[in-house]
Amino acid sequence: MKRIFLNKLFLVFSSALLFIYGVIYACGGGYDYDFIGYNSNFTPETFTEESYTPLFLSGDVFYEIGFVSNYNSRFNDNIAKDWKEYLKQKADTATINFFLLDKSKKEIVQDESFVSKSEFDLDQLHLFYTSKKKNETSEKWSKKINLKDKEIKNFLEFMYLAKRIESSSVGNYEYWSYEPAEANLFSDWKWIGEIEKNYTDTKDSFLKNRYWFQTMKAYFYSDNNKKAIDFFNKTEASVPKNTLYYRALAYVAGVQYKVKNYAQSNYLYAQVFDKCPQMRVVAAYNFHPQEEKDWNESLQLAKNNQEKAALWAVQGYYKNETEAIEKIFGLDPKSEHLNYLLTRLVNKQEDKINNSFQKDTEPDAKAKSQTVAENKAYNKSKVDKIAFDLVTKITASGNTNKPYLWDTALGYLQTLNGDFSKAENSFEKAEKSMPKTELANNQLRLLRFVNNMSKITKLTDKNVNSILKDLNWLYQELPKEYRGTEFRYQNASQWSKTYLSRLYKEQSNPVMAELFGETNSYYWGNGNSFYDNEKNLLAMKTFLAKPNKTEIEQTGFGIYGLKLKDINNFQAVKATYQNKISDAITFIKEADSVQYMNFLGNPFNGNIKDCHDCDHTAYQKKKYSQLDFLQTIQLMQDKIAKNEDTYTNSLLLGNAFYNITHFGNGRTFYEINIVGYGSSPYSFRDSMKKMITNCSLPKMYYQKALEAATTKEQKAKCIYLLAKCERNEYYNKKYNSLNNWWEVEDNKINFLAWSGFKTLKNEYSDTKYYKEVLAECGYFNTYVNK
Amino acid sequence: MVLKKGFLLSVFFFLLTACNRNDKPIIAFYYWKTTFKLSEKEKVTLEENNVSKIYIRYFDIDLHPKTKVPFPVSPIHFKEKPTAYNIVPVVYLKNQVLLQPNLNIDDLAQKTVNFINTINQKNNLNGQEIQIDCDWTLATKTIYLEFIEKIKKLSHKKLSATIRLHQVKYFKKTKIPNVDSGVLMYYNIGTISADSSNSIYEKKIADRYLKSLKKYPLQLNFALPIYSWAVHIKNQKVIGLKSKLNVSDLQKDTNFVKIKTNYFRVKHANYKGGTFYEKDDLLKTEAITAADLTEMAEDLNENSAQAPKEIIFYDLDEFNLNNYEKNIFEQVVSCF
Repeated sequence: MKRIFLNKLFLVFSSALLFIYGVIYACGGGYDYDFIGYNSNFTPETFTEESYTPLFLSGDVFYEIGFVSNYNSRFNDNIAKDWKEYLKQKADTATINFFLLDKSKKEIVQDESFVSKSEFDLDQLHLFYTSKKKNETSEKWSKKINLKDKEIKNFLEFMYLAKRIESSSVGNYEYWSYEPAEANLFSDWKWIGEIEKNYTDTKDSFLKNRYWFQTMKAYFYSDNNKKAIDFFNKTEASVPKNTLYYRALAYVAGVQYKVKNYAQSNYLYAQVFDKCPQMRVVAAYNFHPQEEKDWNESLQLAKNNQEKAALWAVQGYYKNETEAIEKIFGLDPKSEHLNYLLTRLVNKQEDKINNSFQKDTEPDAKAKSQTVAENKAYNKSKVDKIAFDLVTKITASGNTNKPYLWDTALGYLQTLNGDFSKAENSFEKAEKSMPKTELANNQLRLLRFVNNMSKITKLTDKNVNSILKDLNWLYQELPKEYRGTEFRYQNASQWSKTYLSRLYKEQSNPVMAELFGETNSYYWGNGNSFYDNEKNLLAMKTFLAKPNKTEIEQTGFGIYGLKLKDINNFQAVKATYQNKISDAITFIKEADSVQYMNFLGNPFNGNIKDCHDCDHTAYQKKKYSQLDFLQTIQLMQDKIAKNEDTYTNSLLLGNAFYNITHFGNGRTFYEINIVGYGSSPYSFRDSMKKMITNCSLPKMYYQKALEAATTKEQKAKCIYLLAKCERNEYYNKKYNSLNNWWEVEDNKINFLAWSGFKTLKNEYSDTKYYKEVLAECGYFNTYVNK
Repeated sequence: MVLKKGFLLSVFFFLLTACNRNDKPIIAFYYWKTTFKLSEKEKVTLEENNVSKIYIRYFDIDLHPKTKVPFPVSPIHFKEKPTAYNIVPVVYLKNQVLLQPNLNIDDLAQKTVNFINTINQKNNLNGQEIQIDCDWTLATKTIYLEFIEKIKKLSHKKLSATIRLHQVKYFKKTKIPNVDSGVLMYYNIGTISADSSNSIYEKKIADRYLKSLKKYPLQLNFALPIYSWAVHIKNQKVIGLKSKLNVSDLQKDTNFVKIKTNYFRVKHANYKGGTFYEKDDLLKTEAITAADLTEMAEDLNENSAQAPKEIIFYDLDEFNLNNYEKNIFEQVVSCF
């Protein structure tokens, strides 16, 4: 079976849709691939039995595990434990595990084939038992275990027979290995006969059960696997209904599938699903009615209500859980299967609701916000009426095996449906009978919070107070306790923030709205546009500096990512670009440690090439901090005002303002959380992109320097640096108007001659600087030699 | 005067060669199943069209879901030996493999070539060419080009690669693999979506790319689609693709009702062909008509720089063959 399963799985992931390169939007049953509970308030683990976990709603094939991959090892622990008990203390764990599980390779030279070390040893020990002659292996093992002991011998002889089948069932999983035959079928019928004979002959019930299973397994992997069905039918009545029995039953189901007897196969898998928790996921995975007829026939095969319910229980996993729940409840109301299906029903319902408060728009269109009222109305309209009525009916009956799960689920659905007081009653009922585990308590508290919050349509001191404790629990306490998805609180956390933000916005409180709904999280590199509005900026500063904050203000303050220093830093950057240097100095001094941060390169250098990496690694006599930088600018500006060394000071100022643009060596100056981050200007929002790519300030200073220049060398330099600004402007204009990266034309930039280039070539070709440019700037060189 | 004569002569010569071109492209097929066994119909088709060359998918290379190590997925098994044909192994390399950080490209190329050789040896096959199929992107172009170089060096065989339309149009950005020839995949042109477009072929979209064919420097053969499938749609979302779904069978099934051209709605929830259809799900069938095929051939012929040597149909399968008249392949090829 293992081989077949594995192959099938790979098929699902690859070969089934080979050669298809089109993009499929939203696959996997309509859920996003990343559906792992981050859009959910309902933790399915809370009350559901563990074996159902992989069957929870997920965007993957199976929840958490993705797909079943432990076919070869799932029962290892059980098997080892069984044999350990059988052998009592006669062999240690390492020895038992070696014979059971070892797969290390040992080469046999004669026929160039490989067997595992354990297989080799078992062969040798078998030889020892049959020939009664000692050999190297028997000598080796007799030091560790008593080979003459009856149980030891039974174990070794059993393993000797079993191992050979193993090599057929497990197959060769060397990644880059190839076997020309499709499946490695077992055809040594003498061997199979030997195993079956042991089954018939042995009196020991432990061994008999295991030989029975090995016989089934051998038939299953044989080149005539229909014999597995005959053998099973002949013997099953006398076999205990343990895990081995259901594993064997799954073999029968597998053969039935292979011979296209789908009704029988699915019926059997459903029984395995029902009775053997360890095989639940495998049974669900292999359950595959082909046509409607198969499904109806499977239902006909069911001998009683429980068997019928089992069929619906698996079908509900793939299909419509509401229908499955209804059927199972009618057949077997206490069925455990109802619980996992209910979690799927609730999680599926959650998947339909909108937690983002954004309206559905066309792709690429700008997102539109929903008001709180609109959001609630939308979500209410998404409640599945049939499912809701069914859950209401079943919960009211109180006749399930975990009524508190139903009360909890119903309460949550009632919240979504806007029945807040009914929801409260349901939660109260659940609380009375549920087991008081930590997870259950948290789940109930969370759903009660969601219900309470959902009642609020306008914020008042009173209703804000009623949720404060829970908000702090969500924002501050839970993240410390839960790091993964074991308790799904993250959605409520984010949802409550957006909810509050929307209400504050509706109540014209932009500062509180921003605290709970931070604009454009800077993780995405595009900064925070809230601060592009000066009124907002000042209001936030006043708020952050205010000493006596109310509790809800404290809560908002506690979760807000930006601090006063970040805003001051932002103001300093903006003032610098506006050439308001004394303002910039005041702000940067209020930006904590930022003022002491050093530039990576010398921000006053202006080189022929724009290479910030080269500038960063170049030797720097003096390192400039941001404050030094601004103060030096101020000093130079003072000197220019007094007509002191206008050429040099203007040139250096041109360099300084050039270096803090996107093209210069000092990008760290503007790469801050409110502005944004990124090596390309296109990661920045428009207002910031404009600010950091604008070269008019350096251009103004270079022009001033040119006017003050006295020598030809000085002039040549100014003209070249001005040409760089001209070049930047050209590209700004060219790329800013693009909608799509693909539209960029491969142009022949090599012969674009800026007016600066022309002047340099025509009037300054006799300067030393001209020669330096020619040597360093291939672009210019190309132009000149054209 | 002499000059004019020469000019006329060359025009005449040109016309002569154009009219008498007898180097029509050959007909070839892709075989894209994991077990090689030809049905009677498939054999007859190959015979009738004098097909001598089959491109067989040997294996995919994907990342192992757990270990993230590249490995060959579902290698081909031969139930019969295609000894009468010239076999070209095709390896489908998933782009995500190339995105894997620290990928050892030498090792991957070596393993790929070895694996092709092993499959050939164990099945007593011999091939003179290898084809690599990969939808490489800007992010993977460098490493993909390197992979192709290595394969070329290690295999000592003629090498071809599949080329997609966007890779033709933007070849300066996406680069061109160093192969002996390319195969332009003239399908999967649109996106698989719930709207009324056909994701396999949409002339409107193809037209946007056609003009760039003339500038493409690599010799190209063309691959044309003869497959069809149905798109399974629930709540305006695509939830699956059903290949080889028989439309006439659907028309007979009372659980389905035809609502417009190419669309069926599920009337009653039911199982069919191993899929569960819920009430109100939609099935959109997408197929390629004979007229589509000749249109493609004409468009390609008008716009290509060099005449193709081969037209490869995707894919050789009885189900697909049943949708066309016997002479369709001849017809299509005659357009070139």
